[in-house]
Amino acid sequence: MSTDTPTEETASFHADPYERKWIMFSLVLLAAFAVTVAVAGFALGFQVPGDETRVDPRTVADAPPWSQPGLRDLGNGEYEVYMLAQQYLFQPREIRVPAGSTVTFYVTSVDVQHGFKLQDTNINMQIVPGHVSKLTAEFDTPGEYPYICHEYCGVAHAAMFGSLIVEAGGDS
Amino acid sequence: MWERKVALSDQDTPVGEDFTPRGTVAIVILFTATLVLLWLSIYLILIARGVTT
Amino acid sequence: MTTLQPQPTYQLTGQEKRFIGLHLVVAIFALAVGSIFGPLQAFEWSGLDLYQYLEPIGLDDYYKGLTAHGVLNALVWTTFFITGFLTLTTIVGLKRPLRYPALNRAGFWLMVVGLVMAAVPILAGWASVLYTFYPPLEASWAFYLGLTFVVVGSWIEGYGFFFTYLAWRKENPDTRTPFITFGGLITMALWQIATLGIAVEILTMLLPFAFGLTSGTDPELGRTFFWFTGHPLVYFWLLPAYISWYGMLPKQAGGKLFSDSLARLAFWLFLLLSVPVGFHHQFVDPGIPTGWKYIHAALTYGVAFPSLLTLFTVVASLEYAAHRRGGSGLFGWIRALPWNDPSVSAQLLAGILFMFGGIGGITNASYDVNLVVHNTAWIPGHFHLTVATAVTLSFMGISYWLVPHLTGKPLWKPRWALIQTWLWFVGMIIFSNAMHVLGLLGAPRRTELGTAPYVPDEWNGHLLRVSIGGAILLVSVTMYVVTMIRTAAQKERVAAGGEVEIPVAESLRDPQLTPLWLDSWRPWIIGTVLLILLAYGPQLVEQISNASLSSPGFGP
Repeated sequence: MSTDTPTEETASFHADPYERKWIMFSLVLLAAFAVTVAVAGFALGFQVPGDETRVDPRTVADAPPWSQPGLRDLGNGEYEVYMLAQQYLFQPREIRVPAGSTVTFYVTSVDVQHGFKLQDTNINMQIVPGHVSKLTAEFDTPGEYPYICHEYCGVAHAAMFGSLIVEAGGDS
Repeated sequence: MWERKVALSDQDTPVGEDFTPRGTVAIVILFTATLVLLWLSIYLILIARGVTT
Repeated sequence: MTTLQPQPTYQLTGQEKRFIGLHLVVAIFALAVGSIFGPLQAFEWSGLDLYQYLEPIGLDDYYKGLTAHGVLNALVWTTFFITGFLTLTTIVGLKRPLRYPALNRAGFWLMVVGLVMAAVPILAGWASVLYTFYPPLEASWAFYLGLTFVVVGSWIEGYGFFFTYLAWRKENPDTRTPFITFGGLITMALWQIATLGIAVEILTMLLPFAFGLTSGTDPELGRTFFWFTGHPLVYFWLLPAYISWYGMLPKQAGGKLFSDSLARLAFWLFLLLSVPVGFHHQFVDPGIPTGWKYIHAALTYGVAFPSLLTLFTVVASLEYAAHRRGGSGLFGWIRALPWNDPSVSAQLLAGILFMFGGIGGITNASYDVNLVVHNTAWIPGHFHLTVATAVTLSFMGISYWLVPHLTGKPLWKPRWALIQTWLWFVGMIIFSNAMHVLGLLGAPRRTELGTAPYVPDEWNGHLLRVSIGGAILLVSVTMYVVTMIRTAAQKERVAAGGEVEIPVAESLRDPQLTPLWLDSWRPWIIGTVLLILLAYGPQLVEQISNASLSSPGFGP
């Protein structure tokens, strides 16, 4: 510490000129990321799950639609799936839709937290007891899309998965 | 013990107030380019996997 | 401008050295035990199941090991190392002893009691709930209470630092807080604010539930409380490494802190921005509106800003040091840094990998882009670059001068220590690259993949690379622990006058010239509280008023 202590008047925010440029550039860069993801999410439709209905995990499986989990055909190539997650399986375990279908997934849990990730798509949801997780996607390419539990749910968590099968030459 | 024993004194190579961090600028430019490229590659995976609403 | 006259330094008393050393003993013990489980998981992924041989000692469960790995490495190693290190930065920076040493001792021993209370149920298999302990998976009450004691003990140690600072401030009303102390105090202030989330979760929901006083929990509300703490937690880990990168590493490299103003600004911004970003861990949760998730995404980009500042300032400090050592050129100066000092090598390598950790972090923060990587192997790939390298490898580097300083004994085989840092670097590149790729291919994290029926062939090569990286990391961590034990246990002492000193870097510009608003608590604390209220308040009111403790418990 120098003996002649500088006074408050001489104190000032100090940064190297290059460092100042980096500060401005960093802010522009981060703003660009924020705009890009907002456009994809809110304008182009690459959306994350939002706030859906609440349910009671103790009784949700007792009444429709959850008492009969499975696929429902809404017509015009649109489908919805009501799915129950539990230690250590999904109901239903297998879903078949024709290529070109639009499928909305409603998933909830009757016990602990689970995850739902449909491989090769952007369907990726936490499944939390008491809440319904919902996302919709379109399936044009025929093939098998496994859906796997990607949130630790107990000792046999690794065995928990199911399959969406998109069939070629559907009726749509 | 090892290298730190021969710590540098302030007299070694005088670097004054005119020091310009050119190498640092080069590194942050490289970093930014890597950041944007890697980030974009994941962003393109998102786009390729189709919309979810 | 630069002050060149030698400054009087504070010599730690024997008692202070022993107290800091005790923190390191617990920290390194936790790292040693916790790190055994990591490679076991990695081997299991490539089909080599070693758990079957561990049945006689009761460690045959993948998820018991995963819980122990997360708790011991991410919570215990870090928290004990940090409280010990910040004790040093408080005392040495302020050049005065702790105001109430008994208070800090009480905090430390409460942490030890908590650790034992949590460790017993983990190892007994009564708490295989991983270190996020999401309800309604049930763990023994002792696990929750033990974690509470660890957190409260760290609070108490933090109070000890604050009282010491206030006493110093009274004696030095016009002096800028020395940087290493300043950084430590902000780290602890951040920690006190951030841990309110899990404190509320455990005290109002999980403990009453574990004791059977309530019949259930609200799991989504629990997640919101957890991640209120969960993200600033990573800055609690990271900021002590930043204290070393800004305030110590330049000295070790033979230079000075390039910009005192920007270093301090970065720390205040971490305090301001690291809490109101928790929903970025809940992007794909139900029960939270998308608009709020986006607001937290935008704020998360905000908290990336001080790390970008850090990149410039720390690299410029190193370049300055390298020039003083005779280095030159656009990149040639890098070779002039003292790479053969294991403490420096560890922190430089940690910093290099942290650049990639930062890139991954910005990807995770990116709202919809997170759909690609959420809950996949990408995530542990990411945080092994951050907490397990930027933080852990830096802490290893710090201990390469700290343990010799505390014990008065020379570092045992510095060349081994140097190899250890490079092995960590190489092992982690292999491990984390494979994890990131697996995540993009859709591999889930926290999953005993060796038994999973859905693993496609295309994952196998990467799963093998995870194991190879894990094996190298096991060798590296073993070398670290052995080096620490042999250093402390040896008979040889350093010669008089040759003691390893505490590296405290000067600033290029006198810190007294840094403006007062960068050394004033009030505006920044008010800003922090306001921002938390704005970013969390409406959702907390919404979620708490709609809370329903209707989710009964289940064993893992």
